[in-house]
Amino acid sequence: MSKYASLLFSPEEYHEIGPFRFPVYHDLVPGEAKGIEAIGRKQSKSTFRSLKLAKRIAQDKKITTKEAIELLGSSDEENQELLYDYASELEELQRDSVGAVEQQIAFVTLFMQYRGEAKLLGSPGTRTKDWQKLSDWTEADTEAIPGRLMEKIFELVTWERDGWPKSEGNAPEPEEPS
Amino acid sequence: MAKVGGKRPGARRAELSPEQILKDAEDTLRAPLADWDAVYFRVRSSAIGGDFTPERFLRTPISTIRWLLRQIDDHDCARANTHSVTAARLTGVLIQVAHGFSGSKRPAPKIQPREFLPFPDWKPEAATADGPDAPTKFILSELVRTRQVPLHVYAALAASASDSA
Repeated sequence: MSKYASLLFSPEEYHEIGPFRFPVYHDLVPGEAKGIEAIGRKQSKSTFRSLKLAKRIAQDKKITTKEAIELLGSSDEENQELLYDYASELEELQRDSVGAVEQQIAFVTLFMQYRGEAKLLGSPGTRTKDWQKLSDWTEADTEAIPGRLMEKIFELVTWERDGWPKSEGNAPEPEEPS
Repeated sequence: MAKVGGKRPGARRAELSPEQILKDAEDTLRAPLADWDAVYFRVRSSAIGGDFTPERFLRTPISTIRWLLRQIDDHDCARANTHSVTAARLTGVLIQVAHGFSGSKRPAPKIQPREFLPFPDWKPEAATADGPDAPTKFILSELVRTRQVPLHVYAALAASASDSA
């Protein structure tokens, strides 16, 4: 690929959130897809195991699977006592599960690493003129940004993955290069 | 969070039965992981991927990578076919000669060199569909509309445009 190929493939549209900007592709990039796939698999594994456990509880307690799932999610003291028999399995489930916030942090971190750009601080009190890629962005950096900002970035991730909301009057799907 | 136009697993999950969720999770776990290393190797080892760094690859939209792969496949097929044209023609001549030596009284078989190419049925992905292209059709229809050409001339022009396409 020649050095001028970047002119053909450079993004035409950016979305700015706070001090950051993100190229808009209406698609994911392999780096993000790889990470999101890994998180998805981890979640599926956790769902699979929790439903297997619910099925086992349903068989043992002679209740329906749906009731067993409700039992697993309830905080009733009476129900909790029933679950003591499955304490070790539940502990394991708790350890391996991916929480909503954890997932949000992971997605936003990936997005920042593969798409995020910012004008970093140059000499004291000034910002550099050029947008710079944030390839070395870490989960700790994501945890340090305000929650509202993180939510907006996460929203952008879901738009890029699942499609942009039509009501916002965004540009139509980009055409493939020709 | 604003509603997005598409599949939100969380929203869908509430409507699904436990069995369906279990099946979905099982399917996800059984599905093979996308082999991005192999895709990168394919692009990098192609004629256009010489300086396509891993960093750049990981930041390129997937739709662009799909387009690149189609172009690479097209290019590889075209190159393989081009490199085999002489061999294909020679094969045709050999078959004709062999038929001549066989003493058969039947007419010699018609040999199409294309049949001996590695990808005989290959057409470039970007090849236009049969028939005149949109600008040609537009010009022709304008000529007819303004009565600058008679209908039979239009028909002849349209037919020759189809043939050349």
